[in-house]
Amino acid sequence: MTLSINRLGKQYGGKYVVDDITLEVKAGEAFGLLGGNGAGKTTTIRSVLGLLEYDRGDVLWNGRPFLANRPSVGYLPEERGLYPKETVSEQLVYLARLEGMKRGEAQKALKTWLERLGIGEHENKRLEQLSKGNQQKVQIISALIHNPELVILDEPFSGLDPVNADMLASVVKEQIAVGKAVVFCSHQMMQVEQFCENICIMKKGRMQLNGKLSDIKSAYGRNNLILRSEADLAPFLERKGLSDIRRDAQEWTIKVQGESQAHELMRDLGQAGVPMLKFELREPSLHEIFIEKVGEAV
Amino acid sequence: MKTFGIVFGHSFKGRVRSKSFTWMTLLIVAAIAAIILIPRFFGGQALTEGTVAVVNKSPLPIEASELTSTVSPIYEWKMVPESELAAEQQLLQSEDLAAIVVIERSADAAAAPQIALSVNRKDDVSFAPNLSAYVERLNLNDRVESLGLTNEQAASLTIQPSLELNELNAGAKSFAETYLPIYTLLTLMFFMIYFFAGNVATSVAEEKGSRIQEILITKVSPVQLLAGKVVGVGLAGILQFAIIVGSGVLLMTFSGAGESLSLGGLSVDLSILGVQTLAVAAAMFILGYFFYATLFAAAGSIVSRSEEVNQAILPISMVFMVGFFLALIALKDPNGTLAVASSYIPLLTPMVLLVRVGAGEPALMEILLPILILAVSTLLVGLLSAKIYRGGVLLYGQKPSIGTMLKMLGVSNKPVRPQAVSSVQADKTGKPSDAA
Repeated sequence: MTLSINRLGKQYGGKYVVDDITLEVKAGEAFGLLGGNGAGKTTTIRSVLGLLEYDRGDVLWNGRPFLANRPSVGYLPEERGLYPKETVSEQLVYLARLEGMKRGEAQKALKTWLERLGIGEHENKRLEQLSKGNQQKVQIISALIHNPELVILDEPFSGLDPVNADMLASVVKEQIAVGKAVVFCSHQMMQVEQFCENICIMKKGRMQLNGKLSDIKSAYGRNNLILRSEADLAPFLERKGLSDIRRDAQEWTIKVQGESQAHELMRDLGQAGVPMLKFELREPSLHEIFIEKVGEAV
Repeated sequence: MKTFGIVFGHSFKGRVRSKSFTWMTLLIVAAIAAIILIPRFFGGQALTEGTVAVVNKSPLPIEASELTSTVSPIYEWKMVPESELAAEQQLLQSEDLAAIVVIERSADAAAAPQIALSVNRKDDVSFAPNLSAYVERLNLNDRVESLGLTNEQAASLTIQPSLELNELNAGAKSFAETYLPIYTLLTLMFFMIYFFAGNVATSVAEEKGSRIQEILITKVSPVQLLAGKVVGVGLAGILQFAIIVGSGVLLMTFSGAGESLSLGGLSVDLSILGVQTLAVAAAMFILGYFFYATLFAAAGSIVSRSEEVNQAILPISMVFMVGFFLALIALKDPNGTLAVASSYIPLLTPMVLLVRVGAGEPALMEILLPILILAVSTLLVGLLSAKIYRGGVLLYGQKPSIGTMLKMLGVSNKPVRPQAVSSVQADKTGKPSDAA
């Protein structure tokens, strides 16, 4: 089961707001679609799902046209929406039945999911009576209750507290483990790094970077040197002519040209007798790569 | 087809279980019960024109029951002794009485009887000729008796002319008979269609406003979604209609008011309408509902919030209301040019044709052709509405221009779909404004 997007383009009034998007999402993997606000992530997703008609390129499922050969899709849109006046069970059973589940099956699946996400007691409450976080959980259940083959989650973590975010993270991992193809739209890099093997960074409707996250990172090399010391390292680092230095409460992060420069620095620190608590060479974080590629704050 | 059924069930259940449905049904049934039952409780004949007090100072055998049957059935007649005349005059002055009739004649059978009629309103003298004839007949009988004639002589004197009624235009509808039933049906249809089609529009706008639409459209095609909603809400409307009519019939049967219910002398008797009118009424109800509900749904789909629905459906509501007023005109002149011409315009057909068939005698083709035109237009409007709906439900922000709507309908050759609005903003800022 593979979702393939080939050179997808979508235009408005002659101007392509999304263009030349090519990516592939396989079963059992999560794909991170990243980008700042207005980068074209939602437009891409909507084009894939047939909510918008794209103007060029193809979207395929298992090598055949997606819409003619539609898999069952679990979609968590960025703009959340359910029936505020209906009870949790009414609307979730309705949505599950629209995906071909029998009423009994849907009710059984609903019970399991409500227990799993810890909102079993809200089954017969109207949605509007629930807290925002719990409404968000209901929304997540609406995307997963019918056991879809393709799961598309647009900013799934927004609005969740850390405890619930962890709960959702375990649900997503489970979906990947049972072989779902998961597309993950986000600008929260922490979560994307946690799940996604492959990523695509979009900017102004174009792909800036696309590939395996580990390959992308190793291509950047281990050029982040992290130092921790109780002494003030600033004068020493300045003497060495290093300018790209960030200092937070406990650590210094220094951009180095390569590993040899870092090793040399470590030797010099030892010779100078500076007491070191930590010395670490690291690949850039996804956050840094993102900032570099998108070039603006997210 | 299966998803249509699920959407249909959801819409139907949602409608029937809503508070407005329950309350509206209860309220209308209560109002019908009040109209039928309250006159009964006060012991009066339902809906008569008032009471006439009759003082008989003559020896003629005047009886209240005969007055009802031969003079006028729409008044209640009561015989009053002469001693109470003053009190009755008080009642007449305070308008608690419609009229006082005093009939005088001396014991001499040859004397002419005198009838004094006192009324408040000029309308209430309508029975005077009948009254005069009744008294004259009694007087004649009395005089014949006093002359001591043989039976044959008496019979030859009191013989009545025989009257044979020949209706050349047999089966022609009388205005008095048809006006009220048709008017009632028309008004009922107007409000039911308006209410339920409006409900479809609100429901579409609510789904759009709550953004659940984006999920639904990945599961169900817009045509099925729209059809399921329209049929579901429509069936709920038919159920409500059946409850209201059913309880009305039950109340009339059990209260015994079934035969005598009339308003202002015009009878409300749906049974005189005949099979043809009722069949056309049913067809107009259903086609009219589908026609307007799909139009309303399209209008509901282009607004962003349910609060804006009324504004969006206003132009269509106006046309619908014009149809209602044209139908009222057609009720007075069902075969006039205006009535005939407007019955062919699908927007107006439901109401005007109902009235034409109910109050006039259109030829069969004049009935079938408008129905055919309406049915075909309903189908077309349904398909076009589904297109607007499909484009509209994902379009947020400002209302689409006529140009955008035409593009949704596929009139323009360059396909521009939802979020055309975003592209306008995108051009200004140099980047797309739709959130990614």
